[in-house]
Amino acid sequence: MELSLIDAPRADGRPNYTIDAVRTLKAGLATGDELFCLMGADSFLSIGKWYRSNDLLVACDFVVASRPGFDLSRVAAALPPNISVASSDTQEGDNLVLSLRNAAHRESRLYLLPDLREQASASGVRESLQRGVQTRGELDPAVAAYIREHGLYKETREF
Amino acid sequence: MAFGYAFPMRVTVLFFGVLKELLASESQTLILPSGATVEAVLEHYRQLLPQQIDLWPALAIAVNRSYAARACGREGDGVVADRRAACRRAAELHH
Repeated sequence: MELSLIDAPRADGRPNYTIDAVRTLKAGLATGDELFCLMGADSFLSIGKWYRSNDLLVACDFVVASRPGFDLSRVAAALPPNISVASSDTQEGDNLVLSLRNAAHRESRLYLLPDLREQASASGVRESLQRGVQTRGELDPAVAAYIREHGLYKETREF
Repeated sequence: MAFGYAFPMRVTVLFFGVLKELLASESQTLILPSGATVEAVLEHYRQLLPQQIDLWPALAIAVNRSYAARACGREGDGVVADRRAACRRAAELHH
């Protein structure tokens, strides 16, 4: 795993949209490589409003994770009008898989990971760090050390 | 702590992640009353995106590259919003 700045702000000031990052990444892939866009279900709910969402949704496969109790029907309902579910839902293990298709019949797969029983939350970790409370193993030790050394996530400003 | 709302201040707001997609922009400049809080900035964007109620609870915010709770800012501050906690530059609203 390595850090990429592929979706960092562009020098020309134009927004660096997700579709741009996906296309740049795909251009660097070898034949047979697969590209997945991972996101939380709450983010995916706004996908219809994303820049060129009709193209984005078939530009790569998506993996959408949700916490227990999340109504997965909201994911399908969030798809923009020009994206249809091309085939019946299939089940791969605990995961629900949808085949998406746009008006030009380009297809992708949407993997829904339901009931992600991960207790850690980014908000909770940030709050712990802000209060100076030890996190409970959610962070890699090197990451925790970096945050501690640089004083990140603390209130450093007086208003 | 600043009191009162007599002097307007200019705040640059940088967007990352989902907010960049929804607002079709990397940044915007807001003129806010002196003493306005980060919560006021958030409220501005909540009103712009009234249907995106799922976005706001996990929003991470930085003011001048420092993580901020829903406190307030000063003239010239930058605020960044993005969904991803690993942020990238100046003052920010992170979702």
